Amino acid sequence: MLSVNYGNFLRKSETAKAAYEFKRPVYQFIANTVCVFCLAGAVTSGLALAYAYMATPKPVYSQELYGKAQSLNNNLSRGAALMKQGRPRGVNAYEIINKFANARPADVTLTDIVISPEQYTVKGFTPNQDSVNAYISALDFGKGKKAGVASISNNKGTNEFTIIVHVDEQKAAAKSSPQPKGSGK
Amino acid sequence: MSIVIILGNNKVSCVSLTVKDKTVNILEADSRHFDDLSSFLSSADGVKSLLSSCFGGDLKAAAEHKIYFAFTAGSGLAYKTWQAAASSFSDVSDKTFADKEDRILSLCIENVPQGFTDLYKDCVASVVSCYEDDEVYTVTSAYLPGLYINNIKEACETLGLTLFGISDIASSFCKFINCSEQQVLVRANGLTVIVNQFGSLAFMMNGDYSDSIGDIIFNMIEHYYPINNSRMNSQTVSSSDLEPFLVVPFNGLSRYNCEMSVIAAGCVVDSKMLAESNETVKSNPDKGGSKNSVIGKLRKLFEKK
Repeated sequence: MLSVNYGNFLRKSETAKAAYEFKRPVYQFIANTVCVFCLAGAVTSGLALAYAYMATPKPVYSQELYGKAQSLNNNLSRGAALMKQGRPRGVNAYEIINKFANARPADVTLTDIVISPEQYTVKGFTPNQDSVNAYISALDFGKGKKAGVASISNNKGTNEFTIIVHVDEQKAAAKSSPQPKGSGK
Repeated sequence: MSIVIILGNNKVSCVSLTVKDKTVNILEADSRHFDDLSSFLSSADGVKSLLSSCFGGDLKAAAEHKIYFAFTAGSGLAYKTWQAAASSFSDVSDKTFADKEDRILSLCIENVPQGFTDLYKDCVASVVSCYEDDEVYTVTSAYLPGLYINNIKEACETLGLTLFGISDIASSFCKFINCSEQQVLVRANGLTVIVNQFGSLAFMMNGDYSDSIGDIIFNMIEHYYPINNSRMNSQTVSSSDLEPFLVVPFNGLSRYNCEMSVIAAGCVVDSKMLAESNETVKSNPDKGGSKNSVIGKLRKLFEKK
């Protein structure tokens, strides 16, 4: 095929131009439609954004309640800090509670913890008696502190138990006090 | 809708048609006589008055349609079949389609028929058909006075009409006549066109067709194209009885002049569409989808796998 406009006295460029001119209103219409669509979209989005910005509700709260909640939060924080630092009669209550809580098997529920320099008492219940044994095995407070079951009773399928950790004060004191160098020789 | 204005021997026909689903629908056709048509075509104002006469003064309505012009015998049209070396049709310096087009059309102008330039100062050429051999190309080209073309363009531009093409009778016959089995010799008023699978030949004739003229024509065909025993392998048909030879169906052909309808359709219908419809018939008669169509390409892809 030769590169000519077969059977036409007009050049290829002239027929292409005529075709473009003929379809130009259609192209214009499409272009205008797209422009209007984009413009309308932009305006609508702008209005929606503006509305969202203007219509955002401002938080309403009572200044008095806010002050109370803040002071409560401060007290709690202070209390927690004091509890971490406090050593009444040489007992680190925070660490003991932490050990009781961490050693606890999943099905054991603790109801009461009493801490004194002589002994630590923990009460709780569990549906599985083996969990009490597991709990005792897991409780490791170091030398001079032995855990044992003080009582266990079965009440309608629930095993209520009391565990007491006896503190041998001398051994505990020996462990906690630093050993002088060369003392073993 | 497309409107084709066919300019003949002091006769102007106006055909409106549409092409849909590879079928040509002739909607309306009307002819009128113009004394000294060449004087109308010799000025832009003359073409304007010719156009307003064709459209009954309603040029606004015409501006919404595609406008085509077609020239037939007796309107200043000339044909020539010529040969040139294949190498002369292209050059490495030709970068764009327009460059290649310029080179080919200047070759056509170099081969303008004798006497044509004596009548008209400048001429415009178009390629009707081209048979490409390994070494030599055989080209049939049509020629029109440049003045007519310029005036038509100017008039259309002034009136706001979209001019889609200016064509000729032989090009339309080449497009629409099915010559896959044998060559067809079409006898029209003042013109004989031979269409075969390789290309075409067109002869302007003042007198009637005779056997001696036929001998000359068939000898020329055998000279230009690789066809032996040309007369035996051809069928002669009048331009008013073309219907059995058309490659696409026409609606409304019985109501209107067949020659006029085919010329008009030849201007409007794209060659690609005709090639596709030919391929569909030849290669895939029952499957549908020509080789170049999307469906055809997909089918080819799946057939490979």
